[in-house]
Amino acid sequence: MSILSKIAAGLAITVALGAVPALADPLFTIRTADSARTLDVTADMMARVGSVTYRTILPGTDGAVHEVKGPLIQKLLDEAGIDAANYMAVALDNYEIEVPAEDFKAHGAIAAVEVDGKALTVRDKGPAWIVYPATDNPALADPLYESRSVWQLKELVAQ
Amino acid sequence: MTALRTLLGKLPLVRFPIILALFVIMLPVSYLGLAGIADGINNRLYFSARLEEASRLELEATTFFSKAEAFAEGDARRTQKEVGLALDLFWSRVDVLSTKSYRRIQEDEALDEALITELLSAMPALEQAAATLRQGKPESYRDVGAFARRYRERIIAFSDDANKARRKRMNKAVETHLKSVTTLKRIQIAYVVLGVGAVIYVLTELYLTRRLNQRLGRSIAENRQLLFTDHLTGIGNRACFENLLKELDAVPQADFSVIYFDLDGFKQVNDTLGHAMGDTLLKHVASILVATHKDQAAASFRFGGDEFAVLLVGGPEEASSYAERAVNRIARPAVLAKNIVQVSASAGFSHMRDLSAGEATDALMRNADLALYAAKSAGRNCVRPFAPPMLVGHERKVRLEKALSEAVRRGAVDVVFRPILDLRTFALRAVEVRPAWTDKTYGVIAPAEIRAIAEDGNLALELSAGILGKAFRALGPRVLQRIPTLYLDIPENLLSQPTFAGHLCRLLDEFSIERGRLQLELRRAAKPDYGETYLASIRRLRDAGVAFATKDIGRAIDRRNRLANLDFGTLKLDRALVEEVSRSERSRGVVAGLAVLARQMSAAIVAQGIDSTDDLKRLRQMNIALGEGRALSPVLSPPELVKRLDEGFGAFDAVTREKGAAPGDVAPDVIVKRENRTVADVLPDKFAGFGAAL
Repeated sequence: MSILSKIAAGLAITVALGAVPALADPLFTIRTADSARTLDVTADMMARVGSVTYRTILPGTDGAVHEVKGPLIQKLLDEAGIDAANYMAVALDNYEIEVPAEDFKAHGAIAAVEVDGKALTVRDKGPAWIVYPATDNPALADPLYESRSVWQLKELVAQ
Repeated sequence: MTALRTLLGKLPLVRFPIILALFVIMLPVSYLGLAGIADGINNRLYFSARLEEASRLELEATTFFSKAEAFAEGDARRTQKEVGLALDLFWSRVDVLSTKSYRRIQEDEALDEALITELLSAMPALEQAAATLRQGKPESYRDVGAFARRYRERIIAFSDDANKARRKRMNKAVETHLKSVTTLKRIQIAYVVLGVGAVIYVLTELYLTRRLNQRLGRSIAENRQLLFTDHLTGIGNRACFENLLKELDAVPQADFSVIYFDLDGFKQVNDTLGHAMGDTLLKHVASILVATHKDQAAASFRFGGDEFAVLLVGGPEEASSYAERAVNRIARPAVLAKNIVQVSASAGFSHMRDLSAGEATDALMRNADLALYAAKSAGRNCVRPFAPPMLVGHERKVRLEKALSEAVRRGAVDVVFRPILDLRTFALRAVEVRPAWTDKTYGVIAPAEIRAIAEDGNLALELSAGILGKAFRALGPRVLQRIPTLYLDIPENLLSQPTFAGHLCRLLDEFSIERGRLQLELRRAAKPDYGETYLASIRRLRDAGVAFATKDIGRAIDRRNRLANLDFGTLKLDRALVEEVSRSERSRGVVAGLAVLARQMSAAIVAQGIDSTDDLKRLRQMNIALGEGRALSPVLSPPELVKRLDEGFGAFDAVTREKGAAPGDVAPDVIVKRENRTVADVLPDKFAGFGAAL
């Protein structure tokens, strides 16, 4: 199945479901475990925080180098005013994994929302995907970081 | 076997490289081991994550189907958006499972890989089916339901298989984990073993080095012992003695003497009874020296040859008494290996108090040596203490030796001539060639002393050849023609020097001296060596026309002369005998007898030391043909000799007659010649010992 037909199909369902995502709709949520602090990450906010672009290999794909774009997660954490040692990354499919704060502070993990200039949808692991700059830093090309590269990110919960 | 031994022999050399090589080998081995473990962990993570994803396919499919069905059935809690999200998630899962790395795992684990391909191509159809869903309209679920019925069984089986495969992988991971632990342990053990090995190696090296050093120390100590022991007699050697003396130098107010012993007649024992006997005798003497001081603090040493020394603690009286006893014991006949051997010993000693201020103990060696010399001069088989005047002679000897050595090398020793006249006609018949030398410090040195010093300083050859050459040069061929015979006094053992005869023959050649013109007067040597060289020298000189002279009657009739074919052309009468001629009837008898003997030997006879006209008269009466002495002519320098030859010796003869006897009293056929009485007579008293040894 070609990408074109996939896009066509995607368009068809969004049209069919009448659910064109508004700019204010949250892509994912950052919160503390008790939900005392919560930040819904929206496209607006991302535009405000600013994005970075990496060229890197993406896990769960066929190994080609892609250009990914999205805000540094650390910036979003700063925005939310949350600073924890570890975070639980939860996906739409309820995949969960603990990510240390270091990955955001030091390794520059981003919440990718665009791959090769195309906004991610749920079907292609969107709307947000934790991505590490593995091409720039070969130490990150590792199954450990791959397992932390959560796609279809739903929540980032401070532990 | 030999290879193994060679290897073991080289072990000390290769120990360290082996340890180093083991470490070098261990590094990559442990690195590869650790890398393998890390890879294993990575692989497990990789497979586990992908199989888990695969196993979730069922969950996502079922969620979508049940949500879609509930929505169609009119469940108010379900919204179209929710159903859409469930479909998106299902679709995304299928999409992920269709990527290459996921497919590889499905292939490895024999999962229903075809299902994913089918689902991926069926997804747009499913989407269309989902689009027809209407809330509260159960029939709108028909298409989705048909899809669910068609694939559910296979999806469940797929997820189940993925789950099983994951569990199997997990079990395997536990095994690998255990293996990794084992590998780690092995690496650890290897390092511990290597570490222990290295420590043992270092300790072994230390131990071996220490043992080696100990062995070296022991061997040095043993060698020192050997180094300081005289092998033959087992007593100390010279090095040991000198060492001890040096150590005693550091002892304040040490009270001891050094006694030197020298055997008399050892050489004869060695020559006649053999070296083995000589060795036995030396051991015998050593045992006497040791036994004689057994109750005293003393040590005995042998310096090589027949020289011994004893270091005796105590005053000079003790040294004197000890030396006397030892000399007496040595002089007793001894039965050695069934031979009765009799030798004697001379001893000289010096006590610490003989040393002047500032002198070190090794001056005792010089003192003892001088005292020993005195003992030998005093006739051997006796003991002499050191006395300071000996030093004067010693100093003179040492300085003259040095000065003469330089003079001989520079050619500064002059030549003079002692004319030998026909006692009947007073015509010149021969000259004796003599050295003349004046030392800066000691003035004119008598010819006999010059000869003695030269002999001691090993200069006899240069001196003899030097003055002979000088004589030839100074006189020139024409004057030489007018002198029938030249006498040259040489020490007998010069003939044992291999170069002497050749040297002399070359000189004779160079100045064209005719056969029979040169006669060598052989002076008896202290230790003559009648070896092959001696005989060869005699033959060569005789062939060159050189004749020999002696004043030693015993020597002249010695049977060894026949062996050497040594014939004497001249018999010289000693001045001691000549001096007696006027006084003693008996001496006249001896001289007359010797004259007969000389005639029998076809030898000329020369009277030496005719200093008085009385003697001259007597000798002329006795028909002695030739003579020399102050009564005939003084010693002459080369120009004086030339002058006197021109003027004739008769003039001197006339003076003699005017002074002394009437011409009629003098029997014209008597000859006199003058020579030194003994060397001792012409040397200063202090030098008496020196002269006596000649």
